[in-house]
Amino acid sequence: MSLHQLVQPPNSRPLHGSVEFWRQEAQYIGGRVEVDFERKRDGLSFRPARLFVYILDGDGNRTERSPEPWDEVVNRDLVAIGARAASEENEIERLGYALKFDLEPVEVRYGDGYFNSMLVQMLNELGFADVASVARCLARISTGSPSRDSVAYDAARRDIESALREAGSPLTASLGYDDETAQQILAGAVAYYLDERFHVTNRERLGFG
Amino acid sequence: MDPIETCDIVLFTATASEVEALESAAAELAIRVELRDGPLGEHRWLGKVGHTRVLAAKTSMGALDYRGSGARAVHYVDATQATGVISIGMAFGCDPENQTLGDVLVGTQVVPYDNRDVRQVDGVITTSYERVKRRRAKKSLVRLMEDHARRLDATTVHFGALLSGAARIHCAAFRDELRTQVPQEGDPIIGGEMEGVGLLAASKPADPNWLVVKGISDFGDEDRDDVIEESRRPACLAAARFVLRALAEQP
Repeated sequence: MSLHQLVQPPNSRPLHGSVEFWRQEAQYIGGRVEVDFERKRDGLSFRPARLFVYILDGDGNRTERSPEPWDEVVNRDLVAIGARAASEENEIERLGYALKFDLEPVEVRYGDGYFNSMLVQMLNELGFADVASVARCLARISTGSPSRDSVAYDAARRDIESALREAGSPLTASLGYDDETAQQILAGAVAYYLDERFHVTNRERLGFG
Repeated sequence: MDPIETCDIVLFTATASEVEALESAAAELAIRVELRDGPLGEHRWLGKVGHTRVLAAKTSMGALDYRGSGARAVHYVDATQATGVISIGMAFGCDPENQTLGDVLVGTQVVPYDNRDVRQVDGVITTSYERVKRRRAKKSLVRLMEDHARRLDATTVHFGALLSGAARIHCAAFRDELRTQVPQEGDPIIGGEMEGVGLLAASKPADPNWLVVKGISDFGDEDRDDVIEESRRPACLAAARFVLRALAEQP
């Protein structure tokens, strides 16, 4: 590492050490890296999230590496090297869990009330409500309307859209999903995020929903 | 019985003084407080305060009781869809040189000191606090309070870690033992209270939904009982006023 490298744009930054190791391992055998996201629901709560990393050879044979506790930097770099989840359903859960790390800075900037109301409004505007899994959540979530008089109105909209794009664009750009599949995964991930954020399933189980 | 309202933030109070203070602070800001009865029992609906829909509920004192902050937080978070909970009320300060009764403590972290090892060493009962793990508060709620304190240019608001546990402390030596013996890595310890630790039950450690904001009613020392009758009300009012104004005046 040189001083020159330290001041280069972010897309040229080095990968997390483990991810770089797995990438080289897969490259050496002409294979690829795949992940399995695990986060088991346990009643009204969840067990800790883990990432299982596999090296696949050219014939599709999987070799498991030791499971990693969830780390958003590791996950982001796995996405950057094109490491898909084992299935589309698993990709939805993985992205749904990762979404909170993308959206949290926006929530911190605008506060819970404004963020909640703007998020729901934007999901309706952006067409997420047309997807059954998101529609199920939105139908069970009640938020206020975001005040248009707030100085934050335009900035909050822009920041939410930007965070969703940040989460969604690697699905095609890095992971190579086709456009339609990527939309399904992003929408499913949003539903996963909404369900947990607004306690949708928990409320149903407890008889409040 | 009314259905339970959904909201963005639930405020928890634990004593009658804290409830009164909340109502007084709301009245100062012309926030209407409606007493309602829902599936989880009696609660207060404050409606939209600034951009945020707010509901308030009372717990019993401390975290562990049948209606303690732990149980109530778990129930209310799921029932109301709240994405944040704030415990307001009174606390002890631990730095009488730099803090004054009625100052506001905002807990950026909670230090659950009951999680400790007690052994007999050479015939002496000895406590080790090495297992105490500090927990961080919800970033969005801390930021809301930081922004408000900055707007007020307030010198009477302190941000830092709050000791939280079941002891009602009347002993400066014990207070100082807690303050100095728990792991020190993290924010400086600014005081302590009894309900914050219960809120830990209602969210994942890595994704906290809670904040503790309390006014200083005493210093957890031998003078506690002498000062608290007079200091309780202003302490509770300072905390309630600070939180409601932070919400109401959010840009």
